Amino acid sequence: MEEGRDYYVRFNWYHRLSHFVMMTTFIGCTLTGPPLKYSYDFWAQSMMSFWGGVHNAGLIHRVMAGFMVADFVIHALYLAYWVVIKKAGIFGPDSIFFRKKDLADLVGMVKWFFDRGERPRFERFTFWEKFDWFAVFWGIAMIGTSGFALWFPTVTGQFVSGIFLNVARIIHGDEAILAIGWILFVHLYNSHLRMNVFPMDPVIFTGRMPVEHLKHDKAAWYDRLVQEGKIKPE
Amino acid sequence: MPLVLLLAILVVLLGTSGIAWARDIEGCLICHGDPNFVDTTPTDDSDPSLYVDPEMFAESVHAENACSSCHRGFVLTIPQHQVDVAKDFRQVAIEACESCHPEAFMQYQTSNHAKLYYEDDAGPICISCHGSHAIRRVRLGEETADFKMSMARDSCGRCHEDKFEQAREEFHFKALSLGYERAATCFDCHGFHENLALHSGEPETVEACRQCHPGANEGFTYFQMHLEEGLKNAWWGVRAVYLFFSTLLIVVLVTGIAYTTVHFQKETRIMLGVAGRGVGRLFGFIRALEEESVRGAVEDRVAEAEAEAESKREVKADVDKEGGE
Repeated sequence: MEEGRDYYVRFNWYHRLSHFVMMTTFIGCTLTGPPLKYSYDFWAQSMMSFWGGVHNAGLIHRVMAGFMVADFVIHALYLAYWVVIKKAGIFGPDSIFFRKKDLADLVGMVKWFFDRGERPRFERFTFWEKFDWFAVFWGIAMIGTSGFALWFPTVTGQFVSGIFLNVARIIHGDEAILAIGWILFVHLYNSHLRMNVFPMDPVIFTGRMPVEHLKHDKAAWYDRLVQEGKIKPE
Repeated sequence: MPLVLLLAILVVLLGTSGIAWARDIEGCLICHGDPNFVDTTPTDDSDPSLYVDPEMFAESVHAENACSSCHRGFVLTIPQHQVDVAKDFRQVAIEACESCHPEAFMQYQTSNHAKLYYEDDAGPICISCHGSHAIRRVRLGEETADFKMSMARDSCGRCHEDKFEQAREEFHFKALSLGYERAATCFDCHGFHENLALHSGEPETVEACRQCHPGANEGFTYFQMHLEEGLKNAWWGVRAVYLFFSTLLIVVLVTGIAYTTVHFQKETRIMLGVAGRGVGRLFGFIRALEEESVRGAVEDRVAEAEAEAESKREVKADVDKEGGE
């Protein structure tokens, strides 16, 4: 960290760890799954050989999936703790859940893209951060469920018709491509290529965000933090 | 006697030539081992070549067998003068296989393949799937993924191309094509010689699945290994799911990439210092780049002019100073 710069701790150790687990397991599944889906493409064989064959790749894929689901379950418990025990407001400014302002922010952002207005003053979580967070729920529900159905096909057969294994394959593959595409084109753009963060926004790994960056990127949150006396105004 | 002598000489010559020739005790390959050996009066449109690649045969599982152990009744006479080749040849071929592989033949007898053969002589017989002179040496249960894949493609897939292409889309063949030899190929489910049709919900289908999936039940067999292109033969729910998730995939990704692209053009204009000047319409980015280049040229000229004026002013000041003294 640079000397003489003020930092605000935006993510605690749990936030950072859960993102790290999600990231590594996602990359693990991304590198082991597609060669099977696209097994007849020219790159599939060498990629599969890199893992030591279909069996090993399948093993890595399942271990990674296990950790990812565990990460997800712990996160669900963490959210339940905040909502049920700490009685945190679901639609409050500190919440990662969607609220009305996000729609206004999206419209404001698009206006800003075309020079039709000021950049919206974001709160603690911008709408694209919220969307990435929400996408994990959708992804785990779709890819995770279909993945387990395919992992234990005969158990699936005990509960539903075997045609759902065909269905599961379609869902698993399509949603995986969606998730990979989203991470590659949108998430990585937002966290690496935006002019404010290029070449990388390290906040999710360090937890610390320079106050001057915070002031520009999340103006509404900055104002609130100053009001609450949590940071010194710039 | 001179013929035998000639054969003996030829065999010795071939033996020393270093090529792995088949054990040709009957001397058939003297003629049939010549790539130019053709039937000059072919009875149908089939390949007139009578050539048998000696090296290929030497590598086959039957390399130790004499030609006449399969080509029965053809010994020492010219075949087509003796029998109605097209019909009798197939009958003899089946009998030849049966004589050493009676169990496989009995299984074949129960299959739809045999039914087809007995209905119509053109129906599949042993060699239709197994080939003849190049039958590979494969130990049961030790088949390589490559062998399983090639059997599916070249043997089963030769007639059941659609079924093969459909099954290729499911995980079994995908894994097989990447070298996972435990994955099932056609004959692992349909049987080597019984060639069962395997319909969903039938007990023999459950048995077929249970070979690898011990917990398989009746419901499990409603999995469809052979989904037609466009899912035409699938339950409508599969088509609905496919349609929904494909649409979702395209809509979400296109929206995300479009959003990111317009974000990028804005930030590029900010970095170029041309944002907020009313050019932010579609293609405003390109116009901004053009403007930037023009503006750059203008700025350069202005700077030049200013520098010139500055130097002139300095000279004038010097002159004034001197004049004052």
